[in-house]
Amino acid sequence: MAQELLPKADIKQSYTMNTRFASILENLRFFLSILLVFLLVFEKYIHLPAFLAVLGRMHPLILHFPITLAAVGGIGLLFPAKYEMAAWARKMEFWSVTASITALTALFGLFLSREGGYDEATLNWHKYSAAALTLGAGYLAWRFGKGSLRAGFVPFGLATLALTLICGHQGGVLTHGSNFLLEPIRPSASASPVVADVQKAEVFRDVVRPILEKKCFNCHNPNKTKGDLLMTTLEGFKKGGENGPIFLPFQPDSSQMIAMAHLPEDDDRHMPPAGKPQLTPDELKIIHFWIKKGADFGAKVSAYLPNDTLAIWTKSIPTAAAALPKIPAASEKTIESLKSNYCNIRPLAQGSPYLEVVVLNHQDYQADVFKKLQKISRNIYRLEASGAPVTDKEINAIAGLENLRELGLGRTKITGKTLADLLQLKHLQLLKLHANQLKAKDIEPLLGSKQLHLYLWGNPLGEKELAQLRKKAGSMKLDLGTPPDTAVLQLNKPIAEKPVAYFQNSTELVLSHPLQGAKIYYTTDGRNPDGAKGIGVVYKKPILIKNDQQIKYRAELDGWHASVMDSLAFKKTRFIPDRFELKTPADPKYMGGGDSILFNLAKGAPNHTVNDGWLGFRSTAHLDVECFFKNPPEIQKVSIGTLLIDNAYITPPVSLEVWGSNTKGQWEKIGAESFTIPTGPQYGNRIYDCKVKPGKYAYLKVVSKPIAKLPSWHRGKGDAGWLFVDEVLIN
Amino acid sequence: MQKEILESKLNINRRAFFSKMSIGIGSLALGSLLIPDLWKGDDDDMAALLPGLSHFAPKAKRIIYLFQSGAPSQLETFDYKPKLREMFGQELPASIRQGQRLTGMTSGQTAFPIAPSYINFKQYGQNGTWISDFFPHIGKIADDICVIRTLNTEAINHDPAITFFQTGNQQSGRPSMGAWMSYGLGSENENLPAFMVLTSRGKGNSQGLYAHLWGSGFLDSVHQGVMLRGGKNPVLYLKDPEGMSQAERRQMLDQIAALNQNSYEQMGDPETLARIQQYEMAYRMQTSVPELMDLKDESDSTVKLYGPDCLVPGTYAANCLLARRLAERGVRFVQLYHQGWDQHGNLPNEMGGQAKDVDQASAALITDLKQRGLLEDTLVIWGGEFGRTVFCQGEFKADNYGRDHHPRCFSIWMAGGGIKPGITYGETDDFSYNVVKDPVHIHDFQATIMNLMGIDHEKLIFKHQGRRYRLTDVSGKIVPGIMA
Repeated sequence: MAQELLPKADIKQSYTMNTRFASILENLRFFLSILLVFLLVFEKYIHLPAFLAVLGRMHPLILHFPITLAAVGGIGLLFPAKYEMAAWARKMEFWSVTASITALTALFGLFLSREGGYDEATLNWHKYSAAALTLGAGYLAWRFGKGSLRAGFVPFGLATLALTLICGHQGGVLTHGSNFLLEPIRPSASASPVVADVQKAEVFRDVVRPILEKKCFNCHNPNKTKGDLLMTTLEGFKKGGENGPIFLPFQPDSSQMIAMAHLPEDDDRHMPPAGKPQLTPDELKIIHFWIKKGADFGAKVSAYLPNDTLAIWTKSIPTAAAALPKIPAASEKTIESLKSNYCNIRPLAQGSPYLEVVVLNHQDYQADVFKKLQKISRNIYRLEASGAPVTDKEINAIAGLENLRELGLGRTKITGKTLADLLQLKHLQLLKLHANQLKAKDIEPLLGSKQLHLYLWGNPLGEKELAQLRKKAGSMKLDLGTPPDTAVLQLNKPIAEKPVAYFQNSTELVLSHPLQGAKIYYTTDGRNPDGAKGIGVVYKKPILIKNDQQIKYRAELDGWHASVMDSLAFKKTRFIPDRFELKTPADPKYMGGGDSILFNLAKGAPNHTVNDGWLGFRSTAHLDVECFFKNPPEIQKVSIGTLLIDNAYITPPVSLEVWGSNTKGQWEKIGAESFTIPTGPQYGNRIYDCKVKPGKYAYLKVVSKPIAKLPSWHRGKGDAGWLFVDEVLIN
Repeated sequence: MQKEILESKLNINRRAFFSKMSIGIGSLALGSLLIPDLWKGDDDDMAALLPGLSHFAPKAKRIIYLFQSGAPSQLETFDYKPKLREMFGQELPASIRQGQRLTGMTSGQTAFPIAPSYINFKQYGQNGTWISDFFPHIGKIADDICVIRTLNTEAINHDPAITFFQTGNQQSGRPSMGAWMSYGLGSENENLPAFMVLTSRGKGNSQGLYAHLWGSGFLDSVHQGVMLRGGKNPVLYLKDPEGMSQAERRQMLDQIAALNQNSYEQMGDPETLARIQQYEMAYRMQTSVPELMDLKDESDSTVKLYGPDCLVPGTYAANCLLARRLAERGVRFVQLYHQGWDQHGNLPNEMGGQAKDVDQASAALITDLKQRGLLEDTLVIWGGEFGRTVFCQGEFKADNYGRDHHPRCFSIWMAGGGIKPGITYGETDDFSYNVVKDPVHIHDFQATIMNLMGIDHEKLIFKHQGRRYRLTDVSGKIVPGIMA
């Protein structure tokens, strides 16, 4: 239709052009085909001039044209005639072009193959399928040119596609190696396995060979032995290439492969060739080290471990083939679907197809989790379900995790009836059954396996049963734990719940002991409590305290030594001022949470570093507090609570003075005490009292001074001492 | 403002990327299952940037670090120096001191008299490990532990030294070891934080502990340590208010998460995502923490093993027992601190008390982990931030003396996951002042720990403000001599 719309002259012109073009094409096709056939037949006699070698190396450049053309043509032949594509593929010109380019590519390939180093069988397949494709395309061009092919295109289309596939695939095998195509799905090559135990890894097998595999095997394999060097087999590797052995044991620096790797990358002899993946400095170091140590093919990594190359070894092992068999990785989607609040799944290590699964005790726990894990049964290396409420029923599902090496079933609800199912786990190395309720007869079936390490601590097994199990276990590793210490231990002290040191009217002491059944004996009369001797009262309910009181207490329980005795002193402070003011502020380092702590009834912290509840005074600053009472109380005694920590220079006061008054500002000294400077280190809490002239006072002033110069025995001699005060008590 | 938001969005860094991938590197590692070469590329720079999840199956899956804060003296713990007896009170030779920097506490001292250990030592275990009589229980586990006598540090004061130990730097602000582990390895149990902290305090002179020691620094804040408090309320604000059901709480959290997500999409601040995760973690901890703290299922023999104090919340023994329970629940890094080891004076007395606090429970933890099959893959570390001087600080008597800070050598022990058991590593001189053989610098110690956890310390890197950071900074060598 479209052609009818064209002017007649144009049609004619286009026709003549087509014929002229077609005939050139046909001649070219014919020439190249004949040349190809001729060269194929007399291949052995070809002596390749340099310029042809250059053409040969252009083979990889142009080979995709014939593939595309043949594929398009082949598919076109399969299409019904009404499609434009089909029309295309039924044209003489198309097939002429295809045949010519195929022939040219095949010729170049033939030149390239003369450089050698290719596996002959694969090369032949490649060569002859290419030739067949060339001739086939030529045949199609001839038939279409004659117009003699009008139906039955399908077989031709299929044949073309088949030849293209065969030829292309074999070409791929020649350049990339035979396992290139399926590598991503073939387990042997995809998973980079993990050496479970570095000790067992071998230097050559697990460290050196994987490097060669990655960087050298592509060109030195049975299909493509560049430089006559075959590295994939041990014999080939030892034999070397066209220039002899490539490594000399103990002499890395004279070894060809090391030398060539060190050549500048633009040197023709540099290996791996420029443009190919290069050896990293670490990889080179490893190969160098291996040769230096004698190029031993059986040596274990562990033999070299104390060496400083350890870091490189271990770093390189991940890429190594391993003690663990290679398996396909589980799909990430499946793994994600199996994860939950109580089931965590992680790879054993980066890139490893093996997984570790942790099943936890959790409110959402479902027993069918183990059945679900069957979806990744091959990948689970470690299953830790210790502590989860696993029962006998789930053991069967666990026994289906065929590659399990380590299994934790401690602290579960199993009774042991189905434990024998675990014998199905052929690779199991570690089984934790601690802290269960297992009987000897349930455990016996598991005994005898040499590789299994069994943990049995904390099961109700008597001495006799244990001895029997040990006997049956033979050389198997049986862990029965440490027998409980039979020594009688001392109880810990009773716990006093938030005891107050100071109180105004009355207070309560609440005691408890964490161990069930422990009895607390206490006294209020200063004697040391001792239940056995009948000294003291058994604590039953909180102790009410109304006056200054010391309470001594300790805990006792059968099977234990009594605890050490503890005591608490309670001090009453009857009057709390309505207002008070600190005339000299505390040292900024020890403000203790504010001045108000002087009358808050709370004891300071046991240690000054916590700096809680203590006001600290030093040198010119001293305790000087003025108090005011709305209703003047009858006062007899004023005391201060202090802290003593000698090595922190926190020492006793030297004086405590009290002034009283009923008129503001007119002070009268109503009491004074001075304290001798200690002759040795003192620690703990201490109350210092000062009796005052009894009477009612609306105003009260309490002054206490720290040591100005520490005595000569003190390591801080000459320095000022600290005074720490947590409460002023007025009675 | 719009411009800043846009810039921030363009800058979405790895931190945000990892946060998005739910929990740390865990899911990245899974992702790499499909693309094994995902992280392998030839670009060294890129490889170095990526966190190194176990290159090979790690020997230790978790760490329990029993940090003795304040620095216990090596001379009264594990570094036996019998020759010092003969040198009682003699001046420390200048050839030994070699101008070592002193703290402000002894720099004014005119004499440096040698103070031999007040306490005797005994040999324990098959290899005759020397351990002081302060630690009879640790003596019983001598065959399970590796004593290292040659740790050395750069700091001479407490906070810089602990900070150096925990974060690899003397100034605060970098992520602590536990945060790095959480970042690099994720958690085995998503119902508990990967990094948990427990503190206790002895009666000895103690030094402060600060939250930066378990901070996450520039790492995502989900990696910071969560502290369990002694007492009735181990985690504050975890309980639902009265009258609120779990379903209501869930609904509320979902709504908050939606709002936060919204805010994140607008502002692009990765910390918003961390916040969503922290709410989620708190929600999960509402059930996991009570279960963790409930000691009902601990048998009498366990109580006797750790000592009855293990039932008193907030004690070192209780923390050791909790540490085991956390390890059983898959927590990656359990950090204990026991304060009170800073004996500048009154040393024999105070150390006796401190040792009593920790001896039985520390040994019990090893025994207990062992019988539960957990010691094989749990690394336990016991030690302080530096050592103490061989010379006396302050008042000097045969039975009472003090020791100042000493950075050049000190002793720690390690046990479990990948550690060579029953050995003593490294030698110091007769004064326990300088290292003679096999020094272990803090960075070496950190590098070794990371190796045991399956991490290459040179590869676990975080880029922050244009600089790449590692726990071991620019140094650190693995110590094969202590590895099994």
